[in-house]
Amino acid sequence: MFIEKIEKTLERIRRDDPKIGAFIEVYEAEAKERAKKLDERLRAGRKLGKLGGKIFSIKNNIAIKGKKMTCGSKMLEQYVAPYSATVVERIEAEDGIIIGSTNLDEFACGSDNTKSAFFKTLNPLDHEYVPGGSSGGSAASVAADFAEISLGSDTGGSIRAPASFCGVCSIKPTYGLVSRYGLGDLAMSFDQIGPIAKNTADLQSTLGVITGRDEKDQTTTVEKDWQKDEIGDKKIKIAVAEEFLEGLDPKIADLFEELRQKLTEAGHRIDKVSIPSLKYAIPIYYLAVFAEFSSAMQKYDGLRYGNVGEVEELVESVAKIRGEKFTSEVKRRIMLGTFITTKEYQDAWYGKTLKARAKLRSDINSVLSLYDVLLGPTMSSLPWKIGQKNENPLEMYLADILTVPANLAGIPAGSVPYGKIGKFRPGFQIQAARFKDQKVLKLMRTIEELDSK
Amino acid sequence: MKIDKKLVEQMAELSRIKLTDEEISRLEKEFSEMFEYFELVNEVEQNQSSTYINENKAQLRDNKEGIKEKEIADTIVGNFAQKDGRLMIAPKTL
Amino acid sequence: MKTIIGLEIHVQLNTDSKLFCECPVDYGHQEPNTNICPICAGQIGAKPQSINKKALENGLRIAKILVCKEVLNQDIYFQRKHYFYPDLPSGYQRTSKPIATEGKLGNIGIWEVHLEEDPGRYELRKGIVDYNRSGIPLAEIVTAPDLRSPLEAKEFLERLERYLRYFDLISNEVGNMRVDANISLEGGKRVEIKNINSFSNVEDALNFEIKRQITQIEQGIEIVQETRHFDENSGITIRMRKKETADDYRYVPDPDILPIVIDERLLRESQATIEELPDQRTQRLAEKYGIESSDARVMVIEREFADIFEEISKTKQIQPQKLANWMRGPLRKQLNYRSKKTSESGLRIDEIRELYEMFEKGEISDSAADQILISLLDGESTTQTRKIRQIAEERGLLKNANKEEIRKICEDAIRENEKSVADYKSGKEKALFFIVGKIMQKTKGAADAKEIEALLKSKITEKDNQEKIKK
Repeated sequence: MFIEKIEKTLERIRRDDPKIGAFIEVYEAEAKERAKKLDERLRAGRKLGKLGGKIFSIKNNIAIKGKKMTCGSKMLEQYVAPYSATVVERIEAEDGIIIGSTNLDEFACGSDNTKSAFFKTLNPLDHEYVPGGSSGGSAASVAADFAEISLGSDTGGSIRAPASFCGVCSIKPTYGLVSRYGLGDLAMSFDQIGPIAKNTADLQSTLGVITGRDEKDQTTTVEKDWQKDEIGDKKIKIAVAEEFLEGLDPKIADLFEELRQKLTEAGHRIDKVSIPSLKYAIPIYYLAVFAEFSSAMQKYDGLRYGNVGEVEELVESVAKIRGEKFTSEVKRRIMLGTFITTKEYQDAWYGKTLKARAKLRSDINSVLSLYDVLLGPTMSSLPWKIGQKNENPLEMYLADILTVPANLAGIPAGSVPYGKIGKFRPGFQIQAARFKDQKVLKLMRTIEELDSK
Repeated sequence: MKIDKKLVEQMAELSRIKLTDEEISRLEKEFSEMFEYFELVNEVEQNQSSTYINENKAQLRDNKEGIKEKEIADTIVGNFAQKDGRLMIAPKTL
Repeated sequence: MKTIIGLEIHVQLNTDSKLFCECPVDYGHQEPNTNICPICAGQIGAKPQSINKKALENGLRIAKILVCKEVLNQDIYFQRKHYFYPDLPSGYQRTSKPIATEGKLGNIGIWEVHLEEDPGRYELRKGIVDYNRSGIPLAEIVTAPDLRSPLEAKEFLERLERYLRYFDLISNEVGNMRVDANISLEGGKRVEIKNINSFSNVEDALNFEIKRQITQIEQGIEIVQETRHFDENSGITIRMRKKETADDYRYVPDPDILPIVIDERLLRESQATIEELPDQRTQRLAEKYGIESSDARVMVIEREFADIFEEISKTKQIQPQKLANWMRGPLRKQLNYRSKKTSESGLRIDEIRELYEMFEKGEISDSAADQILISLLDGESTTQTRKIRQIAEERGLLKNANKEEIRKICEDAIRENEKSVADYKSGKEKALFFIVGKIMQKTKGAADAKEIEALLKSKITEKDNQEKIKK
């Protein structure tokens, strides 16, 4: 009975979430209502959709009609989404149950979920530690059994980082595979919605539902056969870039070595390669993201998305509202993005960034033309304590070094936990060529099996 | 690249963001550090290939009128900070 | 003093839905903020749909009219033009790179044509915003600074408007054509006048601005490069605050929009409808059918209107000049009164031909013809062929069928209005018109006033004579 499952989950949320802070809002009545309906349909002998009765949480930068969509910002504290994101419509059409919306860094700008304008989310594995971000509420909701699957968004690692910190699985699909219609923008040519879950089977079934062409997001494409298992029974050709292992936490390095041996023993081929341009990934990523983000944030003038303060005139009042309602990380990014796209500085900064991005992309693609997948750790460190990394923004940016290349290249990247270090189960990242999401899932399943042995 | 107080103020004005003096001096320091690091992009060999990930071209949409959804329009209006009936109120500028 | 003027002309393209969403495009008669959706109202997370094909086609037709070079087989990106303004829900306007360049209209050079989305309507004085207009497709036409006087600018715009209307490329809404004008006096700095909301205001705005600049120069004040706003109510230009005019639009390609590519096929198919230009057709109509050129000009206000003229003129026994008079008069009047384009009026050539022939042969009066026209324009269904003769019969508007009846009505009227008849006989001509009016009322316009007048006169004389004989 789905209603019992929902009741039990709601009970857990009531008991544990006041500490963890995964949810911005819990849709108790709607979830129960939906569970009852599904039960009735089953009793009537009718079949349910592909996600029948699965409990979902949704990052609060994804629109659910009639619900508050805050994007973790005071600027949108009162904003009600007038429509549902395509992914939400597709999940509902396949009988998934949405239980609530989850916390995030403001406008998804952050790597550890300490930058939500409302409250911090704690890591369910150890409450003194960050859950990772920006989809920290999503990963925490899965790790704490508040939801079976969560939809997050990933611009430079925002679902993989928290999945790794919270010991769960996630995949950022190929750019263009999942509609972004209804996803609040961070950087439009990077953003992608993806699932977080406790196992790869749930990732697979969710992808089966949320992917595909959407007239309302013209960057979506239908690549024929993307669901096909190209590898089959063959062994997997794996590349490890030596740049992935630089500055790695030694404990994670040891685990990775263990994983490598096991994979080799299982007959898979693992080669070490080098992608020297990876060292430019962080500056390229952040400059490009700043530029796109500053454009996306132009719309917030205090007039349209809930009353956030009096707009008496169009210059000083608007500047005052933006100054007060955005937190420092968001302001930083808007200002830098605005600056590097001005007429005077655009060629020197933004123009060069775009070309550098193209170069990095082609370097990654050439490795992926020789191998099925790239393998490495998802994060170079274990979760840090809350408050430990607040001071220096650059230090925070550098934590994303391993996850941003996938978004720069628009390729799929998944994170799957392996082994254990203290309370944590670090994630390992698998990347493949565009639309080869099934290769990513294949190796994720392989590691999942190795881990359970 | 040299970031000084004046430049930070200019950036804030263009971004239409009001900053406190404390923020300005903090950002001056942070931006200086960041730009120094970001100079790295200049080292990357320039690649002339398309800067776009998605190499598809636009499809053209048929010129047809869709279904009007009043409920959606109503929620959009409902979100206006200030309204007069269905009109959004903005500052007067003349 | 030499005056240098260049124009940026924004015209709303004739489409059924908006540029990046499926919202309807009529905003003039709609309740505010009803024709909006998450896309055109800048809601969080919404993305633009693929562009409206007809908008691009109409843009290409404009390119052909302006003899431009189209940008073929290349990626054409939409860019984001950033500025903060309440009518711009996303804080940027989506505007394409040129779809065509290097054209001309007459001797005025055209620099480029590109597509963009219309912002909403922001009434500056009242401080209210309606987004129904937001997202309507616009073509922006940028001229070279080839214009030398406000009058020349006005004439250029009138010609452009004539061409665009003729080919039905622009919308029918109020405010469908707006202009930003750049003007400098010889040696002086360039001043931009923004948002002149109709073509007819352009001349006024420019004249005012020239006077203003000359006065300043005479007072020894330097003209600075600035942006000014034309205020329709007072007819003057007002300096805009520097902070309100973005000095940096930060153009960047829109990552949500795939580039459009114009190929030969699209070009051929969309431009096939652009053949003879209206001024050429005016000349041809005047020569071929021997009508006044002023009438020919009215015939080519719209292509469909001119088509009707030419088609009916082919009918034997129809005199083109008479037809032109009727089309220019009653027909045009009814269309204009309803602000209807011929193409959307539902009128068909065969109907108009039958109607005109009946009128021309005297089978129906001019007021009866008007009535039938009105019922055609305001009637319900136009899917079936409507028989004009049948309508006329049903409504009793046929003159011949009613001759007997009208004769009887006249006789009755003479009997019933003895005093007026007596007055008329005593030389008061006006007394007769009183009776004519009464008869017109009774017959609901089916009768012809002149005929009734004649009939009455003859009846009165007849009656007189009979009485004389009796005596």
